[in-house]
Amino acid sequence: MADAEAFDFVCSQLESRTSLDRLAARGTVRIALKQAGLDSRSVTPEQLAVVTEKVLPGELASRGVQGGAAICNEIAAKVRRLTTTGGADTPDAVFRRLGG
Amino acid sequence: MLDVLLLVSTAAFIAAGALVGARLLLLAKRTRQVPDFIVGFSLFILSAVAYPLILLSSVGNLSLDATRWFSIGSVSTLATGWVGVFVFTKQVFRPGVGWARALMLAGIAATGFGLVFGIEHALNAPDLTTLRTPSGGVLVIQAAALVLYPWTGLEGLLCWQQARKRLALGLADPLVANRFLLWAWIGVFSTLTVAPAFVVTLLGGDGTTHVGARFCTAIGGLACAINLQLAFLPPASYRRWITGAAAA
Repeated sequence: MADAEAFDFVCSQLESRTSLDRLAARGTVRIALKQAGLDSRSVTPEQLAVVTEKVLPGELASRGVQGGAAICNEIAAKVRRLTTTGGADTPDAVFRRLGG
Repeated sequence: MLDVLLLVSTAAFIAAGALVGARLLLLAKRTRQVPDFIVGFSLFILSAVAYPLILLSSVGNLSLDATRWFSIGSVSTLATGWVGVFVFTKQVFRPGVGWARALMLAGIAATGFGLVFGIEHALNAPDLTTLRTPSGGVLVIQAAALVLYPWTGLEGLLCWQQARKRLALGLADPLVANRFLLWAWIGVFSTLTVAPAFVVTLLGGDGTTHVGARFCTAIGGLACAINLQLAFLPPASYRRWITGAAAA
């Protein structure tokens, strides 16, 4: 699964499990990613799982979604089962390599 | 005193840049990744070739012809190295972004334009005094570098800010985050090596002899050497310090 598809997967899960519509779900996940210093185009499933567990519940609570933590834990477990395609050569990946 | 500081600074920059550049070129041979090659090549050619040629071209008792060829060599390798940093910055930090592509192409065009006129000046200079006076072409190349260095430094700073957020969630390597910050400092100090002399020359002075400009160049070069070393060839104690500080 391409990394951007992992983002789509989380958004669709959120949309089906909460009262958020498609636009609100995508916006909420984007805000959570931004708070974590990540981008929806390059985020890996593993990174997305961590953000879903640690950041997203707070965002859902601020939007009045009940039981956000439990929902997020379930989504995170599913995201972790997705496989990454390797994705783009991000600045992080390049600077990690350059360190040797 | 200033001469000694400049000599130490230049030697440190040449040594650190050559070492780091060579290491990154070896890394690129292994990884086959374009950004690794570009940054390694640029660092190597700037520090191990361009700066020694600049030093040689300023040696007092050289013949006009020898100085002419050292000048052409130094301006050509400087321009090549800076074009490489333009490409690296765009490719790594802003791939597929229109304004970054435009900025990179404008920088490369200005550098190429400056190089042509810089070589023309060196070939036709009738005496050493004229040859050693910074030409319009060289000033154009320096102006491009004064766009490049703040740009690449700012990109490093932005990536460092993002990496700090990821660090809090355990999603980043503290050494990589620190490498972004050091890259930002390299941008700042590289700007310092070029900007003062450039401004002095623009105002009609001699940037190569101005005390303040020479001092800034010396400090900037020394700081660049230290940051290059810490970013790409850090000693074990520095690695431990960064990872320890992140864990605390």
